Amino acid sequence: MAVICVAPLMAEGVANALDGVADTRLLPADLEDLSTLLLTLAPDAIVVDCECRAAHVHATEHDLPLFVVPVEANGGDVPSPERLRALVVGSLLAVQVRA
Amino acid sequence: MPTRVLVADPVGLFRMGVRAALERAGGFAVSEAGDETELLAAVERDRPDLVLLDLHLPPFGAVATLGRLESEHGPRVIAWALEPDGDQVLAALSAGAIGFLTKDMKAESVVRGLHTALEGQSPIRRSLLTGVIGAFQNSERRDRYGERAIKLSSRELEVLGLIALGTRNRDIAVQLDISEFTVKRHVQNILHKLNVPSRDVAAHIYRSVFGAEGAPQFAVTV
Repeated sequence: MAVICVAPLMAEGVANALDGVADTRLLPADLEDLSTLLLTLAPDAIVVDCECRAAHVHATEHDLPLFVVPVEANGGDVPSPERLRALVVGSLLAVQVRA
Repeated sequence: MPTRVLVADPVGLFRMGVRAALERAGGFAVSEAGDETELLAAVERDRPDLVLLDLHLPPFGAVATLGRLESEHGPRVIAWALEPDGDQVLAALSAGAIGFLTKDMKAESVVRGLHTALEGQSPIRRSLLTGVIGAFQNSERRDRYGERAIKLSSRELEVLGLIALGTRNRDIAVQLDISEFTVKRHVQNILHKLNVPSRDVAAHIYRSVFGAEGAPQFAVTV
């Protein structure tokens, strides 16, 4: 699971929420050549806290679940830790069933 | 004895990350609140030494919450947001926050900011300072201009508002249903009361006080 964040504390929160469910790799959103890194890591799913083109492209091309968890709610809905955990577990199971 | 820190933020994942980072750093006892009601209850219950307050904390945001904290309680509050502008930072500081951080900071930097606050200083991210200074200068200018604008009568404010929109005397006369001579007299009074040499400068003052297209929300009659 790749967690791509502009806010390191958000990445830490996501990693904590997914503890025991997924191995997480925390990646800064401004990392150079993120696309290549994603190809190398080959994650089963991606979590982002920002607009991240490389993540969107990689998820689309490899048919991966992509979860967006903004740092600031701005009136929108940000999944709780429990909900994110449930969503990730569900999507990983779905991937296994498809395989 | 650990430093009691209350993390007030509507995003549970972010709160979780802050808690994990502070507990890893050691020396902090962390409590959480997702909105103002929870924050006020937690302040009462946990008596935190410091509050990390999200700028957009529901329901009304950090500035409103700071007003309530100031009058009812008294922990030291550090506000933060992801990409705040100078006006937002200045508003939070004016409302009582002792510092302002940004949410894209690394955990170590946040911990350093908390220690700075515990030493009685004000942690403010350096990248915010230029915006804060600009906001402060604009606010001072608005206040100065506002003091002058308040000397104008409601009719003079109407005339000045139209001047600020680029309206000529003849058209102002038509719009307000008065003679062009009366408009000129109002303009002379406006320049005199504002102590400015031209209608362009008067228009600039009007826009500084009321915004680019704003008509006054109040009418003052002298």
